[in-house]
Amino acid sequence: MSKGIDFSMKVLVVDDFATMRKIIRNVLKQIGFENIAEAEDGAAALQIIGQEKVGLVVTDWNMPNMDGLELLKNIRRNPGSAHLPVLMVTAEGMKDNVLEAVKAGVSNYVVKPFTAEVLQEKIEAIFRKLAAQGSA
Amino acid sequence: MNKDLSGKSPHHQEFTADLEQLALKAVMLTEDDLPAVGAFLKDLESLQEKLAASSAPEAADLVSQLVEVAHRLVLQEIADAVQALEIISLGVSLLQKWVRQGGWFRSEEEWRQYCRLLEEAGLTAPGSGEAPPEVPGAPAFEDPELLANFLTEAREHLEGIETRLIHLEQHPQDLAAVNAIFRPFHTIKGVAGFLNLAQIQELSHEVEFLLDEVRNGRLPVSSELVDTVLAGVDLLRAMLADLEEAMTESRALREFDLTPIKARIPTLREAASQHPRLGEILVDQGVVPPEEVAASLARQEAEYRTRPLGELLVEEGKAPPRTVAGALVQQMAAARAGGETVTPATVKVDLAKVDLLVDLMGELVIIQSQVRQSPVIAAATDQKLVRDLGQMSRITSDLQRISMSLRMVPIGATFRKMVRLVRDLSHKVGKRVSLLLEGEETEIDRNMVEAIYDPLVHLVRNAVDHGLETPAEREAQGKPPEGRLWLRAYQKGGNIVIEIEDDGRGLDREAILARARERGLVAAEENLPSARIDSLIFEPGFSTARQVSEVSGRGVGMDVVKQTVEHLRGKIETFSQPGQGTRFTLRLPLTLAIIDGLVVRVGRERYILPAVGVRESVRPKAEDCFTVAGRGELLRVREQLLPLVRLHRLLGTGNGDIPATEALALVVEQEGCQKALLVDEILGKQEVVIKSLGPMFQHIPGVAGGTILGDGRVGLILDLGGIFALEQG
Repeated sequence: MSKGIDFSMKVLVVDDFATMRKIIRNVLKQIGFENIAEAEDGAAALQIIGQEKVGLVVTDWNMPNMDGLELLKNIRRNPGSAHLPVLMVTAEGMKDNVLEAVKAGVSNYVVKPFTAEVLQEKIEAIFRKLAAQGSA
Repeated sequence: MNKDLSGKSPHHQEFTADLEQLALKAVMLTEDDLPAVGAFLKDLESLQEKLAASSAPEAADLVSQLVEVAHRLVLQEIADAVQALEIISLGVSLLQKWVRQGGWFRSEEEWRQYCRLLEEAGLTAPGSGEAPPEVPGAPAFEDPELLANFLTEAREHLEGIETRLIHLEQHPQDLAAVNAIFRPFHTIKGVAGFLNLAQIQELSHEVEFLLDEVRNGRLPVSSELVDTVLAGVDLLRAMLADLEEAMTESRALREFDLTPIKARIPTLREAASQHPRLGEILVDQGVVPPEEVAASLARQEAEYRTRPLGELLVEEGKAPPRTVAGALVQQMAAARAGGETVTPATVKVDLAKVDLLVDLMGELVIIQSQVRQSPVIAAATDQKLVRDLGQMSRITSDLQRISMSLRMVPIGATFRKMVRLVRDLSHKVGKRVSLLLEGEETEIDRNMVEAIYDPLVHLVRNAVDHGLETPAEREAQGKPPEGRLWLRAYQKGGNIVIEIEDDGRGLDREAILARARERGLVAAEENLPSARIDSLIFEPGFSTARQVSEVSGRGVGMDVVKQTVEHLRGKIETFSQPGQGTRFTLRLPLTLAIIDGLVVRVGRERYILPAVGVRESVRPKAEDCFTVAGRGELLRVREQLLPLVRLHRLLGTGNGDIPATEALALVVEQEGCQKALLVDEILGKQEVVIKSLGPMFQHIPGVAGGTILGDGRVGLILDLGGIFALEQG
């Protein structure tokens, strides 16, 4: 399907709404990912990231306990996960938040509702960039 | 030109270094490298801050423009990202030039090009040219399982929302609560977008928007707002129900009319604009200067509005807590009914002081009546003295009434705690329950509120667990699937009445009787009236629930409920109709401190009987008195044979064998069971302040406490339950 992406990597989907997790999981499968884990909030996600090798995090913004931005900041703060690609899912109308996320080091963001193509583009952009940095 | 950034000042050197870094980053920037753009944006913003502190308007303007370009780049609001990057690198180069030369010439080619590109990108007038939101064609998920998931989950998320809204109405400053209400709508909107549920998406967007305004402090919490959100919740539920139906019947979705709810939103905003903001009130009062408020608002913004303005002002020492609280009260008063009603100002007082005041008032009432009854005063002929005494007596009773009311609180808060309880319980036992609250404003002694909480919880639990049927059972009986549970409070006579009523299956009398027989509470052949059967559930250790459930346990507790209520000198009654429901009625005195007492003489002593328990008094006639073997003395009162209790004998205060015809019989009722108490005479009726007899005499059977009578002597207050028990034992 796409070049430059290792589809065997584990993708962690973080959202408090199970249906949303399922939707994102479906889209990720459409793109070609097979190894998908889920967490229902930032705290649970951090635990998984600490224990397992995760290649990409797709996280919602607005969640109880720990929201997406807090999760992102935590990921960047920890040297073990500082370079982990994080894709933020936001709702339109939260533009100020997007700027916050970008300043906090989000790898990319996608606005709900999105198509499989848009999500794929965003993920490809993240890994293209990583590959370029790795070879540079 | 600038004052402190040109030349060779230390600021200048630092600034030059910053710009060099920035220029390097600008060159490396690519449009799809969001993290790099983010880092660049951060640098630009810190530069913006430094420039704002210095006096260099030209450079500050330039940096602000660059920040705007970077924002738009991130938000994909600039069609040509490459051009945006060019603007950025030109801008940084101009800045470097400005530092080196202490300015730039507006005629310079670089400047002109920068301006041209900025104009092309639509950026000369910041704030205009907002790009339309991205609306990609959502993928069609014709996945019924996903839709079913969505339905369940959306409903789950909506379920707690009424409780939260009620909480919010009570605590308008609780931003966490706003967020908790906001989230379900936000999430539902997001998912609905994917599932092509356009109307659900639209409605949840409207409500979400409204709540976002509240979250950002642009709309105050008002009952109109809560109503609107509740209306939104109802409509959303209806849409979900329609979706469910449409799925099973494989038909198209119904079209809902969203105009009424959408029409409410502008009204809310208009109303809001009339309400003063907290900052404005404080500025008007001259407490905080406007610029200080602005600074705190900026800080609030920087903290993502996690804290209310009032809290920040207090923390920063800009306003004393009391003033802020006063301003908040003023704001809420204005928010309510468009500022027509005014919330009374309040003070917090230690409850112990109030208790002491009520006690002392009781003493004052008593001493006052002692003075009036003193023979000297009674014989007084001075008109003025008599008039003054009358006036004093009126003032004293007014004072007493007011001091008692200090301790009264509305029962609504206690009722509303049940909302959550019912929700959680019904969920757990798989029932649908709508809870209806009536008379929330009814006032009750604060000490009583705490004491009745546990009994109420128990009764509500029982109603949900045992009283109400499952939706399937209800439908089979032709009832609506959603069971109803009422919590009512009202004042009747000198009592507070609290009712817990359900429209469930009613008490199962056969099961109760069978169990009572099994337990030996009732003789095998004994036939009991249904009211008596119902009251068996209050017997210690009684339980009819066949299955021990997690919710209401083993049924222990009805006896405890009864004990608690009686301890409060209240009564509990049950009324039940099979298939129609059950009602529990709690009658409680208005206050724990004072009762309406009937002063009676029994031999040498005077006693006080709680008037609430006394039905009537009769002078026994010889033909109405019977002695039945095994049942003792009986008195016929209106064709009913009541056991006759000789208080003289029971209390040991005189001749226990006086002929009943020479005495007075008081018909008293306790737990639906009547008896006739024999006393010598009724001395009067008066309100008495109950005094504890101290730990030594706390639990004397038949005696509830003591009081000081009008003539200064101590009178014992009799406890009917205890008397009945004494008489039977």
